[in-house]
Amino acid sequence: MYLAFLPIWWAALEPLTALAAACADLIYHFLDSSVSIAADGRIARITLDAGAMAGKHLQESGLRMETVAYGMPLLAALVVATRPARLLGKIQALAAGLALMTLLTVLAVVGWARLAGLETHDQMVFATTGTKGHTSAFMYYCFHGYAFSQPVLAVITWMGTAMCGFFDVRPLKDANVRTQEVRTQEPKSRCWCGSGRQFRRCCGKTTRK
Amino acid sequence: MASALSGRIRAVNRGAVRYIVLFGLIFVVAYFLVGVAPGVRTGILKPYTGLLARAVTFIVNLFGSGAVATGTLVQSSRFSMDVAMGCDGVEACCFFLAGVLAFPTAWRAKAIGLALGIPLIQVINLGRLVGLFYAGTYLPSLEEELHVYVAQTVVILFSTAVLVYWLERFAVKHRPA
Repeated sequence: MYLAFLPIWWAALEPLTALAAACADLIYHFLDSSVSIAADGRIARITLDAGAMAGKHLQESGLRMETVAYGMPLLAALVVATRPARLLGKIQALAAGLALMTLLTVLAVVGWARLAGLETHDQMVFATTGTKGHTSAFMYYCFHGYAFSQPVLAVITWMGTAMCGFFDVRPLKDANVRTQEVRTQEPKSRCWCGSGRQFRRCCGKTTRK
Repeated sequence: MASALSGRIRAVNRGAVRYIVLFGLIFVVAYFLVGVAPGVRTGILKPYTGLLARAVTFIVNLFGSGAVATGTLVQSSRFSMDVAMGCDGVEACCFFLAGVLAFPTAWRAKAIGLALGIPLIQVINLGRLVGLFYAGTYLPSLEEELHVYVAQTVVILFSTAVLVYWLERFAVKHRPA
Protein backbone atom coordinates (compact mmCIF):
# COMPACT_ATOMS: atom_id res chain seq x y z
CA MET A 1 0.00 0.00 0.00
CA TYR A 2 2.86 2.36 0.93
CA LEU A 3 4.64 1.69 -2.36
CA ALA A 4 1.37 2.34 -4.23
CA PHE A 5 1.04 5.74 -2.57
CA LEU A 6 4.63 6.79 -3.36
CA PRO A 7 3.98 7.84 -7.01
CA ILE A 8 0.83 9.75 -5.99
CA TRP A 9 2.80 11.56 -3.30
CA TRP A 10 5.61 12.30 -5.76
CA ALA A 11 3.10 13.84 -8.19
CA ALA A 12 1.54 15.90 -5.39
CA LEU A 13 4.90 17.24 -4.18
CA GLU A 14 5.04 20.19 -6.58
CA PRO A 15 1.68 21.69 -5.52
CA LEU A 16 2.59 20.92 -1.90
CA THR A 17 5.90 22.78 -2.34
CA ALA A 18 4.08 25.76 -3.86
CA LEU A 19 1.58 25.83 -0.98
CA ALA A 20 4.21 25.35 1.74
CA ALA A 21 6.55 27.97 0.24
CA ALA A 22 3.72 30.54 -0.10
CA CYS A 23 2.51 29.98 3.49
CA ALA A 24 6.07 29.93 4.89
CA ASP A 25 6.90 33.14 3.02
CA LEU A 26 3.82 34.81 4.48
CA ILE A 27 4.71 33.66 8.02
CA TYR A 28 8.41 34.45 7.74
CA HIS A 29 7.72 37.92 6.38
CA PHE A 30 6.49 38.89 9.87
CA LEU A 31 9.74 37.63 11.44
CA ASP A 32 12.24 38.91 8.90
CA SER A 33 11.26 40.84 5.77
CA SER A 34 14.72 40.40 4.21
CA VAL A 35 14.01 36.70 3.66
CA SER A 36 11.88 35.46 0.78
CA ILE A 37 10.72 31.91 0.15
CA ALA A 38 9.56 30.67 -3.25
CA ALA A 39 8.82 27.30 -4.80
CA ASP A 40 11.01 25.97 -7.60
CA GLY A 41 9.59 22.63 -8.66
CA ARG A 42 9.97 20.33 -5.65
CA ILE A 43 12.45 22.66 -3.95
CA ALA A 44 11.62 25.53 -1.60
CA ARG A 45 14.19 28.25 -2.32
CA ILE A 46 15.10 30.64 0.47
CA THR A 47 16.73 33.91 -0.52
CA LEU A 48 18.41 36.00 2.16
CA ASP A 49 19.51 39.56 1.81
CA ALA A 50 22.70 39.15 3.83
CA GLY A 51 22.93 42.90 4.42
CA ALA A 52 25.77 45.34 4.74
CA MET A 53 28.09 43.03 6.67
CA ALA A 54 28.23 40.58 3.79
CA GLY A 55 28.64 43.23 1.15
CA LYS A 56 24.99 43.62 0.15
CA HIS A 57 24.70 40.34 -1.72
CA LEU A 58 21.98 37.72 -1.77
CA GLN A 59 22.44 34.23 -0.40
CA GLU A 60 20.34 31.26 -1.45
CA SER A 61 19.46 28.01 0.17
CA GLY A 62 17.20 25.22 -1.07
CA LEU A 63 15.11 22.64 0.75
CA ARG A 64 14.10 19.48 -1.11
CA MET A 65 10.49 19.10 -0.08
CA GLU A 66 10.50 15.31 -0.22
CA THR A 67 12.94 15.19 2.71
CA VAL A 68 10.41 16.81 5.05
CA ALA A 69 7.20 15.31 3.66
CA TYR A 70 7.92 11.62 3.07
CA GLY A 71 5.79 10.63 6.06
CA MET A 72 2.65 11.53 4.08
CA PRO A 73 2.46 8.39 1.89
CA LEU A 74 3.00 6.23 4.97
CA LEU A 75 0.19 8.01 6.80
CA ALA A 76 -2.10 7.61 3.79
CA ALA A 77 -1.22 3.91 3.54
CA LEU A 78 -1.84 3.32 7.25
CA VAL A 79 -5.20 5.12 7.16
CA VAL A 80 -6.36 3.31 4.03
CA ALA A 81 -5.23 -0.05 5.44
CA THR A 82 -7.22 0.53 8.65
CA ARG A 83 -10.70 -0.95 8.54
CA PRO A 84 -13.16 1.70 9.70
CA ALA A 85 -16.77 1.34 10.82
CA ARG A 86 -17.74 3.63 7.95
CA LEU A 87 -15.99 5.05 4.91
CA LEU A 88 -16.54 8.66 5.95
CA GLY A 89 -14.42 8.06 9.05
CA LYS A 90 -11.53 6.94 6.86
CA ILE A 91 -11.85 10.04 4.67
CA GLN A 92 -12.02 12.30 7.74
CA ALA A 93 -8.96 10.61 9.27
CA LEU A 94 -7.03 10.99 6.03
CA ALA A 95 -8.01 14.65 5.68
CA ALA A 96 -7.18 15.51 9.31
CA GLY A 97 -3.88 13.61 9.24
CA LEU A 98 -2.72 15.11 5.94
CA ALA A 99 -3.78 18.61 7.06
CA LEU A 100 -1.66 18.22 10.21
CA MET A 101 1.32 16.98 8.23
CA THR A 102 0.96 19.81 5.69
CA LEU A 103 0.98 22.30 8.56
CA LEU A 104 4.15 20.69 9.92
CA THR A 105 5.70 20.89 6.43
CA VAL A 106 5.02 24.65 6.34
CA LEU A 107 6.68 24.97 9.76
CA ALA A 108 9.63 22.91 8.49
CA VAL A 109 10.14 25.36 5.61
CA VAL A 110 10.02 28.23 8.14
CA GLY A 111 12.58 26.32 10.24
CA TRP A 112 14.84 25.83 7.22
CA ALA A 113 14.68 29.56 6.44
CA ARG A 114 15.65 30.27 10.04
CA LEU A 115 18.51 27.77 9.74
CA ALA A 116 19.73 29.46 6.55
CA GLY A 117 19.66 32.80 8.41
CA LEU A 118 21.65 31.37 11.32
CA GLU A 119 24.22 29.84 8.95
CA THR A 120 24.71 33.23 7.31
CA HIS A 121 25.04 34.83 10.74
CA ASP A 122 27.62 32.23 11.81
CA GLN A 123 29.58 32.82 8.60
CA MET A 124 29.59 36.58 9.26
CA VAL A 125 30.76 36.04 12.85
CA PHE A 126 33.52 33.74 11.60
CA ALA A 127 34.56 36.25 8.93
CA THR A 128 34.74 39.16 11.35
CA THR A 129 35.95 37.59 14.62
CA GLY A 130 37.43 34.26 13.51
CA THR A 131 35.24 32.44 16.05
CA LYS A 132 33.19 29.52 14.76
CA GLY A 133 29.50 29.79 15.68
CA HIS A 134 27.61 26.70 16.84
CA THR A 135 24.01 27.94 16.72
CA SER A 136 23.34 26.83 13.15
CA ALA A 137 25.02 23.44 13.69
CA PHE A 138 22.71 22.71 16.62
CA MET A 139 19.65 23.76 14.66
CA TYR A 140 20.84 21.67 11.72
CA TYR A 141 20.85 18.56 13.92
CA CYS A 142 17.35 19.42 15.20
CA PHE A 143 16.15 19.79 11.60
CA HIS A 144 17.93 16.61 10.55
CA GLY A 145 16.20 14.80 13.41
CA TYR A 146 12.81 16.15 12.36
CA ALA A 147 13.34 15.06 8.76
CA PHE A 148 14.46 11.58 9.81
CA SER A 149 11.45 11.26 12.12
CA GLN A 150 8.89 11.55 9.29
CA PRO A 151 7.81 7.87 9.48
CA VAL A 152 7.51 8.15 13.28
CA LEU A 153 5.40 11.26 12.87
CA ALA A 154 3.17 9.43 10.39
CA VAL A 155 2.65 6.49 12.77
CA ILE A 156 1.91 8.79 15.76
CA THR A 157 -0.56 10.81 13.64
CA TRP A 158 -2.27 7.60 12.50
CA MET A 159 -2.51 6.34 16.10
CA GLY A 160 -3.86 9.75 17.11
CA THR A 161 -6.61 9.66 14.48
CA ALA A 162 -7.50 6.11 15.50
CA MET A 163 -7.65 7.02 19.19
CA CYS A 164 -9.67 10.15 18.47
CA GLY A 165 -12.36 7.85 17.13
CA PHE A 166 -12.17 8.74 13.43
CA PHE A 167 -12.53 5.11 12.46
CA ASP A 168 -15.54 4.47 14.71
CA VAL A 169 -19.22 5.08 13.91
CA ARG A 170 -19.26 7.24 17.02
CA PRO A 171 -16.77 7.71 19.84
CA LEU A 172 -16.56 4.75 22.21
CA LYS A 173 -17.86 6.68 25.22
CA ASP A 174 -21.03 7.78 23.39
CA ALA A 175 -21.59 4.25 22.14
CA ASN A 176 -21.48 2.91 25.70
CA VAL A 177 -24.00 5.50 26.90
CA ARG A 178 -26.32 4.72 24.00
CA THR A 179 -26.11 0.97 24.70
CA GLN A 180 -27.04 1.66 28.31
CA GLU A 181 -30.09 3.67 27.16
CA VAL A 182 -31.20 0.86 24.86
CA ARG A 183 -30.99 -1.65 27.68
CA THR A 184 -33.07 0.46 30.09
CA GLN A 185 -35.77 1.47 27.54
CA GLU A 186 -39.23 -0.05 28.13
CA PRO A 187 -40.38 -1.89 24.96
CA LYS A 188 -43.77 -0.12 24.76
CA SER A 189 -42.58 3.39 25.65
CA ARG A 190 -41.77 6.04 23.06
CA CYS A 191 -38.43 5.48 21.40
CA TRP A 192 -35.50 7.65 22.60
CA CYS A 193 -34.60 8.55 19.02
CA GLY A 194 -37.61 10.89 18.78
CA SER A 195 -39.42 9.05 15.97
CA GLY A 196 -42.65 8.94 17.98
CA ARG A 197 -43.00 5.19 17.53
CA GLN A 198 -42.82 2.57 20.26
CA PHE A 199 -39.29 1.53 21.12
CA ARG A 200 -39.97 -2.16 20.23
CA ARG A 201 -41.12 -1.11 16.72
CA CYS A 202 -38.26 1.35 16.19
CA CYS A 203 -34.68 1.10 17.47
CA GLY A 204 -35.63 -1.82 19.69
CA LYS A 205 -36.09 -3.96 16.56
CA THR A 206 -32.35 -4.30 16.15
CA THR A 207 -31.83 -5.38 19.76
CA ARG A 208 -34.43 -8.20 19.62
CA LYS A 209 -33.75 -11.61 18.16
CA MET B 1 -15.10 21.43 11.70
CA ALA B 2 -12.96 22.59 14.65
CA SER B 3 -15.79 22.22 17.14
CA ALA B 4 -16.66 18.79 15.73
CA LEU B 5 -13.02 17.77 16.12
CA SER B 6 -12.74 19.09 19.68
CA GLY B 7 -16.05 17.37 20.53
CA ARG B 8 -14.74 14.13 19.11
CA ILE B 9 -11.51 14.41 21.11
CA ARG B 10 -13.43 15.20 24.32
CA ALA B 11 -15.70 12.23 23.75
CA VAL B 12 -12.96 9.63 23.40
CA ASN B 13 -11.22 7.89 26.21
CA ARG B 14 -8.99 10.37 28.02
CA GLY B 15 -6.48 7.63 28.64
CA ALA B 16 -5.98 7.22 24.88
CA VAL B 17 -5.36 10.94 24.39
CA ARG B 18 -3.00 10.94 27.38
CA TYR B 19 -1.12 8.02 25.84
CA ILE B 20 -0.68 9.75 22.48
CA VAL B 21 0.41 13.06 24.05
CA LEU B 22 2.88 11.31 26.39
CA PHE B 23 4.09 9.20 23.48
CA GLY B 24 4.89 12.31 21.43
CA LEU B 25 6.53 14.13 24.34
CA ILE B 26 8.73 11.20 25.39
CA PHE B 27 9.75 10.64 21.77
CA VAL B 28 10.79 14.29 21.33
CA VAL B 29 12.71 14.37 24.65
CA ALA B 30 14.40 10.98 24.07
CA TYR B 31 15.33 11.82 20.49
CA PHE B 32 16.65 15.21 21.53
CA LEU B 33 18.80 13.71 24.30
CA VAL B 34 20.10 10.78 22.27
CA GLY B 35 20.13 11.96 18.67
CA VAL B 36 20.47 15.75 18.75
CA ALA B 37 22.29 16.88 21.93
CA PRO B 38 26.03 16.55 21.33
CA GLY B 39 26.93 14.43 24.41
CA VAL B 40 25.43 11.04 23.51
CA ARG B 41 25.57 11.69 19.76
CA THR B 42 29.32 12.18 19.62
CA GLY B 43 30.28 10.14 22.68
CA ILE B 44 28.25 6.96 22.09
CA LEU B 45 26.49 7.00 18.73
CA LYS B 46 29.51 7.89 16.62
CA PRO B 47 31.58 4.94 17.91
CA TYR B 48 28.42 2.80 17.62
CA THR B 49 28.07 3.61 13.89
CA GLY B 50 31.66 2.31 13.49
CA LEU B 51 30.58 -0.90 15.20
CA LEU B 52 27.58 -1.13 12.86
CA ALA B 53 29.88 -0.68 9.86
CA ARG B 54 32.02 -3.60 11.08
CA ALA B 55 28.91 -5.72 11.66
CA VAL B 56 27.64 -4.98 8.13
CA THR B 57 31.07 -5.84 6.71
CA PHE B 58 31.12 -9.13 8.65
CA ILE B 59 27.66 -10.13 7.38
CA VAL B 60 28.19 -9.22 3.72
CA ASN B 61 31.59 -10.95 3.76
CA LEU B 62 29.86 -14.17 4.82
CA PHE B 63 28.38 -14.10 1.31
CA GLY B 64 31.68 -13.24 -0.35
CA SER B 65 31.35 -9.50 -0.94
CA GLY B 66 34.98 -8.80 -0.07
CA ALA B 67 34.11 -5.59 1.82
CA VAL B 68 36.38 -3.70 4.21
CA ALA B 69 35.32 -1.48 7.14
CA THR B 70 37.28 1.74 7.66
CA GLY B 71 35.79 3.75 10.51
CA THR B 72 32.15 4.22 9.55
CA LEU B 73 32.80 3.36 5.88
CA VAL B 74 31.96 0.01 4.33
CA GLN B 75 33.87 -0.37 1.08
CA SER B 76 33.87 -3.03 -1.60
CA SER B 77 35.07 -3.01 -5.19
CA ARG B 78 31.54 -2.24 -6.45
CA PHE B 79 30.03 0.01 -3.78
CA SER B 80 30.92 1.93 -0.65
CA MET B 81 28.63 3.40 1.97
CA ASP B 82 29.00 5.54 5.06
CA VAL B 83 27.06 4.47 8.17
CA ALA B 84 26.34 8.05 9.19
CA MET B 85 24.19 9.70 11.83
CA GLY B 86 20.60 8.61 11.26
CA CYS B 87 21.66 5.11 10.18
CA ASP B 88 21.94 3.98 13.79
CA GLY B 89 18.23 3.20 14.31
CA VAL B 90 17.94 5.83 17.03
CA GLU B 91 14.59 7.16 15.74
CA ALA B 92 13.07 3.69 15.78
CA CYS B 93 14.45 2.95 19.27
CA CYS B 94 13.18 6.30 20.63
CA PHE B 95 9.80 5.59 19.01
CA PHE B 96 9.61 2.18 20.71
CA LEU B 97 10.89 3.56 24.02
CA ALA B 98 8.24 6.29 23.96
CA GLY B 99 5.49 3.80 23.09
CA VAL B 100 6.50 1.51 25.96
CA LEU B 101 7.08 4.18 28.62
CA ALA B 102 3.87 6.07 27.82
CA PHE B 103 1.64 3.04 28.24
CA PRO B 104 0.14 2.65 31.74
CA THR B 105 1.31 -0.81 32.70
CA ALA B 106 3.59 -2.52 35.24
CA TRP B 107 7.27 -1.52 35.22
CA ARG B 108 8.16 -5.20 34.86
CA ALA B 109 6.28 -5.34 31.55
CA LYS B 110 7.99 -2.13 30.44
CA ALA B 111 11.40 -3.54 31.37
CA ILE B 112 10.69 -6.74 29.41
CA GLY B 113 9.56 -4.65 26.42
CA LEU B 114 12.66 -2.48 26.42
CA ALA B 115 15.06 -5.37 27.07
CA LEU B 116 13.68 -7.39 24.16
CA GLY B 117 12.38 -4.69 21.83
CA ILE B 118 15.37 -2.37 21.51
CA PRO B 119 17.90 -5.12 20.62
CA LEU B 120 15.35 -6.53 18.17
CA ILE B 121 14.96 -3.12 16.51
CA GLN B 122 18.74 -2.84 16.27
CA VAL B 123 18.82 -6.22 14.54
CA ILE B 124 16.13 -4.98 12.12
CA ASN B 125 18.20 -1.85 11.51
CA LEU B 126 21.29 -3.97 10.84
CA GLY B 127 19.21 -5.90 8.31
CA ARG B 128 18.30 -2.59 6.70
CA LEU B 129 21.96 -1.59 6.39
CA VAL B 130 22.87 -4.95 4.87
CA GLY B 131 19.92 -4.59 2.48
CA LEU B 132 21.09 -1.10 1.51
CA PHE B 133 24.60 -2.41 0.84
CA TYR B 134 23.19 -4.96 -1.59
CA ALA B 135 20.82 -2.35 -3.07
CA GLY B 136 23.82 -0.09 -3.70
CA THR B 137 25.74 -2.98 -5.23
CA TYR B 138 23.05 -4.36 -7.51
CA LEU B 139 20.58 -1.45 -7.94
CA PRO B 140 22.76 1.68 -7.75
CA SER B 141 20.24 3.86 -9.58
CA LEU B 142 17.56 3.15 -6.94
CA GLU B 143 19.80 3.17 -3.87
CA GLU B 144 19.10 6.79 -2.84
CA GLU B 145 15.30 6.37 -3.09
CA LEU B 146 15.39 3.01 -1.31
CA HIS B 147 17.59 4.49 1.41
CA VAL B 148 15.52 7.57 2.17
CA TYR B 149 11.94 6.59 1.44
CA VAL B 150 11.67 2.83 1.78
CA ALA B 151 14.28 1.46 4.20
CA GLN B 152 13.65 4.03 6.93
CA THR B 153 9.89 3.55 6.67
CA VAL B 154 10.21 -0.23 6.76
CA VAL B 155 12.24 -0.04 10.01
CA ILE B 156 9.58 2.17 11.62
CA LEU B 157 6.80 -0.15 10.43
CA PHE B 158 8.62 -3.15 11.93
CA SER B 159 9.13 -1.16 15.14
CA THR B 160 5.40 -0.42 15.18
CA ALA B 161 4.72 -4.14 14.77
CA VAL B 162 7.06 -4.91 17.70
CA LEU B 163 5.31 -2.25 19.78
CA VAL B 164 1.84 -3.59 18.94
CA TYR B 165 3.02 -7.13 19.79
CA TRP B 166 4.35 -5.89 23.15
CA LEU B 167 1.09 -4.03 23.84
CA GLU B 168 -0.98 -7.15 23.15
CA ARG B 169 1.30 -9.76 24.68
CA PHE B 170 2.70 -7.98 27.76
CA ALA B 171 1.35 -4.49 28.40
CA VAL B 172 -2.40 -5.10 28.47
CA LYS B 173 -2.01 -8.23 30.65
CA HIS B 174 -0.16 -6.28 33.37
CA ARG B 175 -2.29 -3.17 33.09
CA PRO B 176 -3.52 -1.77 36.44
CA ALA B 177 -7.30 -2.08 36.97
